[in-house]
Parts: sequence; C-alpha cells; structure tokens
Amino acid sequence: MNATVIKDGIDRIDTGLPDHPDLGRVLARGRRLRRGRQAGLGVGLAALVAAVALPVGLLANGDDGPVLAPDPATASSSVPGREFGPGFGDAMTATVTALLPEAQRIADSQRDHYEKNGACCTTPAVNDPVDYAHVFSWSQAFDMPSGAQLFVDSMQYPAQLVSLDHQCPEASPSYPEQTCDVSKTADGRTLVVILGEQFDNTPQWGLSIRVLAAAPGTHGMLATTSVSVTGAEDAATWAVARETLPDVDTLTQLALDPNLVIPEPETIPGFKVGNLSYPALP
Amino acid sequence: MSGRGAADAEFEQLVRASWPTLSRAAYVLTGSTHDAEDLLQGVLARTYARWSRVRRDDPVAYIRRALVNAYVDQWRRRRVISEQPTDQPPERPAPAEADRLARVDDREDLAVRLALLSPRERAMVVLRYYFDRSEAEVAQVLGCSVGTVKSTCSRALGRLRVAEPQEGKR
Repeated sequence: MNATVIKDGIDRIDTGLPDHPDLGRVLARGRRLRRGRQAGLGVGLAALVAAVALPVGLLANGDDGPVLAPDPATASSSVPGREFGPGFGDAMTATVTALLPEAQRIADSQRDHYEKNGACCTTPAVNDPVDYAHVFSWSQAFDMPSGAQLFVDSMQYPAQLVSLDHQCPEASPSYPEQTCDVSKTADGRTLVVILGEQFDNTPQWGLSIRVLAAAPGTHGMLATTSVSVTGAEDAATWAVARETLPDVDTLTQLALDPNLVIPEPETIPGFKVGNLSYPALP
Repeated sequence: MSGRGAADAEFEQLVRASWPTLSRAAYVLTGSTHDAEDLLQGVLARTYARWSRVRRDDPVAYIRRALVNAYVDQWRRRRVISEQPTDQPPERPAPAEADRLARVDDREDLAVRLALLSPRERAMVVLRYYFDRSEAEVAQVLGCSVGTVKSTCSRALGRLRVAEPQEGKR
C-alpha cells in the first residue's frame, strides 16, 4: 500500500457530495463572518472609550450561519472584577507544564459566543478577533513525548446545562474496561474520574478527570465551572495506553488547580436553547 | 470588473477547480457525506472571509491545511461536553466496526479501512499521501514532531496494508 495506491483509491471513492460547490452559501456565510469581525472590533473600541456601543447585529439567513444579536446593555467588554485576556492562556500552559514539564502545547482556542447549528441546537464558536469579555471556554492541547496527547478544557456553563450529579457515561458491555468514580473534594467541588475511555471507536484509549463547581453567581446568574483534563493514546488496549499516559494523581492535581478556572463572563452571547437563555430568565 | 468582483471571481474559480480533491479529502476525514459538507462549508466560508490575505500566498495549500486543521479541531472539541447543550453525558460512539464491514462491498473497501483509522492517522494520511505534503510540513500543520508523523503514518499504512486482500487472490 503506497502513496499512489492511496491517492488513486481516494479519487475513486463515491463521496455522495455534489459535483460542484454551493458557492452561493459559501460566499453568503463568508460575508457574514467578515461583518461579524467588524462588529467585534466595534465592541472593543467602545470599551476603550468607556462607552456602551451598539454593534451591528448579524441576522440569520434561513437556517444557516451564525446568529449574533447582542443586547446593547451587555455589549460592554468591561466587567467589574473580571481581569481576563490573552494572558489566561499563558497561565494555563504554565500550570500544565509546571506539573508535566515535557508537555508541548500544540493548540490553543477559545469560545466567546454560541452559534445556531441546525434547527435544534447551538454550538460554541469564537469571533475573530476574540471577544475576551465574553469568553466562557478555553482549551489547549499538548503533545507528550510518549505519543500521548493531553487536552485541558476550562468552561463556564449556564447551570441549566450541566447537572453536577449525572457525570458518568452509561456503562456498556462494549466498554468493560471503563470505570467512573464521582466524589466530593474537601472544598465541595465534584470530582469525576473516568478511566479506560475508548475514543471514536478506534484503538485509542484515555482517561478524563473533570472538576465541577457551582460558581458564586457574581452577576446574578447561576453558572457551573468545569475543568477537564483528558489524556489519550493510540494503543491496542487500555492496559498499554495506561502505561504511557500521565498518572491519574498528577492529572487530578492539574484539574483541581484554581488557575485553570475561567472567571464568569457577564453574558454568553447567542446562548439560547429552547426556553433556556443566558442570562437566566427570571 | 471591480477589485472586489475580480477577487470574488478568483476565489470562485479556485474553489471550483479544487472541489473534487477537497470534497474527497473531507469525506475521508469525516467518513460522512453530511459532516464532510459541513466541514467544507465552514472552511471555505472562513477562507473567503480572509480572502484578501489568503490569495497573496498559496491559497490552495492554505485551504488544504485549513481543512485538516478544522477537522482535527472538531475532533478534539468532541472530547468535551460542549457541542450539544445537554445535561446528560455525551452518547458513546456505537461499536459499529463489524456492522460497517458487513455492509461494505469492494468499492468502498478503502473508504471503510480509512474510517477505521484514528482521526489523527486519517489527518496524516490525507496530508501526507493525498495532498502530497512532506513529513516536515505535516508536522508543522498538525503541531507535532516529524518523528510522530513518521510513526503515525507508518502505523496507518500498516493497518491499511493488513486489511488489503493478498495479491493474486482477486
């Protein structure tokens, strides 16, 4: 099996995709993205002059594209007591490498609003440039010398989304190696340790440590903070993967580190799922 | 034609010319027509949004890199409960390998075997062998070492080769 065979083979695959691209949709969506970036810059400038700006709202076009119509009352990027910006990412990396010096960061991403995704759902997304005032999710990925990968994800959830109780994946005879333990830390946080996870139905095994806490609700909204640390390794069995993954105690210590917790944003633009919205409706 | 009109025409021409390769790559990466279409729409829209910058360098290489990066980013994001708002843990992927193999005929053989690779292996196979990038370029795009590219590609090829019927039995 060489490169030519692979190339020829892929070229013969029947993908089911149309023979030509739908350029109308691509250009329309691309123009919306351009307008969204310009609107984001407008919000930033408003913050610099300590004024509340009313950025241009983006309207959904049918069921495609982002919906971003921020309330002018919440458009300010100045949140009392919330010192937050690009430095959080550096601090996150420093926290990881302090415990795992061999980890090499390979990805760094944020989410600052939700976009409509199909008829039912919304999905986290990020503006360009990043709207740090509303960032509610920060993720980094690391390569380990063993070949394993480490994922660190810190999020703020509206409390309606995540139950602090039901955190374990459903047990299944297809995944006999998987275990899940839920406990409370001394300071009242929920600690979830999942071992023997198989990802994407291929020989890739991992473990996840997740720490959840009810946020103090500093802006009058209930929220949940979540820090997840996931290790994944391409291996034939969980036993093999476990030997190359960082140990559970180290990853637990990392997940519990307060430096990984994102402070609560005032709002999460675009978040609306059914009757749920953020901020919470009275 | 105005400046913007000329730039749009350039973008459209490039996308039409690249579409067959991009669409197959997207399908191989995602394993699904629907997901491939979503992936392509997102990448092309973002490319168009940045077209004034992208067109100055090597736009074909840019789009190919963006496609693989977007797929890898999606895959990594699925590890966190964030894609679908829910208060239940995410659904497990069904152990469908056996079922999938039972339904497949020879024409889809390679597609099925590619789908059985890990996401990272698929991304590397597409970059290295379909887009014909060097090991160093693949390492740079995926943010890993050249050694990781070598070992992962070798493992992926081995898995594809093991699944191949022996020569002479056809």
